[in-house]
Amino acid sequence: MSIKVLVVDDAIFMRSLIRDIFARSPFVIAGEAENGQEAIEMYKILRPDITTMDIVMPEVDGITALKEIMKFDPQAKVIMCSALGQESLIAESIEAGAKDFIVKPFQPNKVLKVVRSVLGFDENFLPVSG
Amino acid sequence: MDMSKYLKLFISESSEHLQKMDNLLLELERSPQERALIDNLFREAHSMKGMSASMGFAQISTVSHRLEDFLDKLRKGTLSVRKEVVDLLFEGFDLLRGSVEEVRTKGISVLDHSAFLKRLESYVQEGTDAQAVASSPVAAPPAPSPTPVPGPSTSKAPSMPAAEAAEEDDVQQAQRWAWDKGLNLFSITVKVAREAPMPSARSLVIYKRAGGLGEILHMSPSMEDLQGGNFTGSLSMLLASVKPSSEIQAAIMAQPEIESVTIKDVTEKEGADGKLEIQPVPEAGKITPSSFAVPLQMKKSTMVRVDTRLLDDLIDMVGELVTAKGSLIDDSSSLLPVQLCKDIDRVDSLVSGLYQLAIRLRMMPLDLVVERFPRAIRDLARAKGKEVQFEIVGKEVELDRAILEELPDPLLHIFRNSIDHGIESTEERADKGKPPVGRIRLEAMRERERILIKIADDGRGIDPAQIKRVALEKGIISREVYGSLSDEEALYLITAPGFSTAGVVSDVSGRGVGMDVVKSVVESLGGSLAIESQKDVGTTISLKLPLTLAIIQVLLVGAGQERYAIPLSQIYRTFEFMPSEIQNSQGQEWITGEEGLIPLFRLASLVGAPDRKEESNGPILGIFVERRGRMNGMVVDELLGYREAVVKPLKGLLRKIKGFSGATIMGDGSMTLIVDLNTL
Repeated sequence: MSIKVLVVDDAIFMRSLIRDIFARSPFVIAGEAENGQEAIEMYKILRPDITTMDIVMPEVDGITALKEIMKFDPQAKVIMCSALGQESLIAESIEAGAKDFIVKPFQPNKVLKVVRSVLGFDENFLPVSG
Repeated sequence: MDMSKYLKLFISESSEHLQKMDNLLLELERSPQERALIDNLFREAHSMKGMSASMGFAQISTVSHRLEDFLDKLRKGTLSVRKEVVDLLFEGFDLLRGSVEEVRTKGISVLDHSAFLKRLESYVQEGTDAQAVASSPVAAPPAPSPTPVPGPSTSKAPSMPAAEAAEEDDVQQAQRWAWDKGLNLFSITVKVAREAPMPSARSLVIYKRAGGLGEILHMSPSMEDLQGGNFTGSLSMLLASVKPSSEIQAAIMAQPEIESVTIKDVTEKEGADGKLEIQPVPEAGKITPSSFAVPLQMKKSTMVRVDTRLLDDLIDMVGELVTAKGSLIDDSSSLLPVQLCKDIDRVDSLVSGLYQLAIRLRMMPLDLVVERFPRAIRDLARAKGKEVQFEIVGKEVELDRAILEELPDPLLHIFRNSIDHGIESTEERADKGKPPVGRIRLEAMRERERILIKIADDGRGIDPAQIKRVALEKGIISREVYGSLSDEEALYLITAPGFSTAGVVSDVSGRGVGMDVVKSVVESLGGSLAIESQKDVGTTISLKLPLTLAIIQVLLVGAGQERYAIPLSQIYRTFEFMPSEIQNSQGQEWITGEEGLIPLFRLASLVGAPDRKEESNGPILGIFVERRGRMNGMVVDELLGYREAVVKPLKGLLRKIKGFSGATIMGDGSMTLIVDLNTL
């Protein structure tokens, strides 16, 4: 079983951080989108198990993309990526159906914990390394 | 987490962001009403913040964060775009750039920007106050107006202690409701970890997750409280569920940033009568599936990042292949079987195609180097107290990266000259009846196998008489030359080493880089430089550059007993003429061309090639070439045909020989020098 991840962020830097966090079985990076519009289009084709979604992006922002994705797939598991000071945007995202959020700077263990809990796996799945 | 491997990426991407920020701010300075610019700037600052925080560069992240806040105030209108605001932002961007540079050179960021942050803050204080007085009072942080949750479960205090969270009434109501449905009822208290970065958002997620396990009958603080963002500490809820408490506890604990979960089974053991008033809190954000009719389309990402060294290696290899191909064709004779000749033809065209592709890989738009000019020009003009409007046309024109990388310094120097010496002060311009703001325009276009870059200003122009005088004083020209130089020729004296007309060495122009360096850089790239100037109308400097450095099209010619390659980019056309057509004047030979009399020179004598034995009175072979920006006639003894030449730079002693830009290996392994007409 592999878990497909769609990474959405306009910064290559951020995408590569996230990519590296998921660079372990059973995750596979199914795709990377650099704005909300790409995210929506790629989601529909790739049907990822998990989507990490940046909020502040050019063209179409992350919350708009999230809403579109939730319309398309109410079961979508979207995790918002946020920076400090964006709590109200996160609150809005969660209202709109985001399953959880992670905060920059990302800590790999926390990110994996969030993913595990969003996927509904127990602690034995993906033991988080020290 | 080891972040060192992200360092390079951080530096390159944050430099890109800072560049964009500069340009956006320049635009904003011009059009302060353009909201989209502020939005973009905000996004860029936001990206910088995220990246630097991830790298652990606290100073960069703090400055980015404050700038982001500052921009947010512009966005919301609590501050307006004024000169001081733009200056502060520029200053902030510069500090960020300094820090990124520090990271690049030292790998750490220790520069302290607290003084700037203080000023930023005090400006926000004063700026906001000033505006609040000036305009109608701008509301403090916008408070979301809470919409009441249906049912009786709206909480009273945002962070009520768990024990008292649910009123006795609420619990009883809930118990009855759960009993009715045959569900267990749990009173759950969750303590959010103190270090949780966004406790309210975390709480929302906890509620949502719990809502997925059953029905929440009461929650404190409420969703609205949480959306207001004013929450710290713990939250409590009454959850009706079929699941056992252990499972609920595990599900909540699985989330990050949770300190503890207390769960108490409060299911009523006996049914009680009474009116049922409580309703489950609807799970916020529940979305019903809707039909979706948007066609599936994905914009494919068509870009790949490649190490430039790989590209250089590829082009070298293709260069070798082109040489090998030349050799193959030279060796093939008409005696070969027809099929083999066809195969060789096919290889020939494939290799040419491959070469074209390889070169295109290394082509980059001019945009990459010109995007930093608007800011540089603004700063230079400011430093001189002048006003300059800068315009770029044709930034999409593509050039070999190897050439592109050499361009910024020469171009900047030309701009500096324009601003220092060309563009007049506002008053002087007014006296002359010119528009108060000076103009500098960079225009790039493709012209056959070359790129033409024109830098034009509308300043006072270059005075040839003054140039000649200075050149004479400095001993750059002799008195005889002084007398014979035309005005047009005099302009080119500014490219002579050691020439500078400025009385005072300017802090911008006077950095030891003169027009002579500009000229030699351009020429070393196989290009040429031309100057046009008209008094009080302006000066235009034109750079003609080859498209690529790696492989060029050449015409092979025989001169004396030697063979030379002339870059096609310097050739207009070949021609034949009779010896009688040559005119002699001023110790120089001339020939009639399209543009009247043009100077004629003999390649063989210029390069000192041994003479040919035979002398003939028949037609002479000539080539109209461009030499130092002007058309010349060049006499050669033989035309040997066109070919693609892989340029090998001259090394060691050979480099000192003027007149050759490189060498190329012929198919038979012999070497041919490539003539550089500009230095010959």
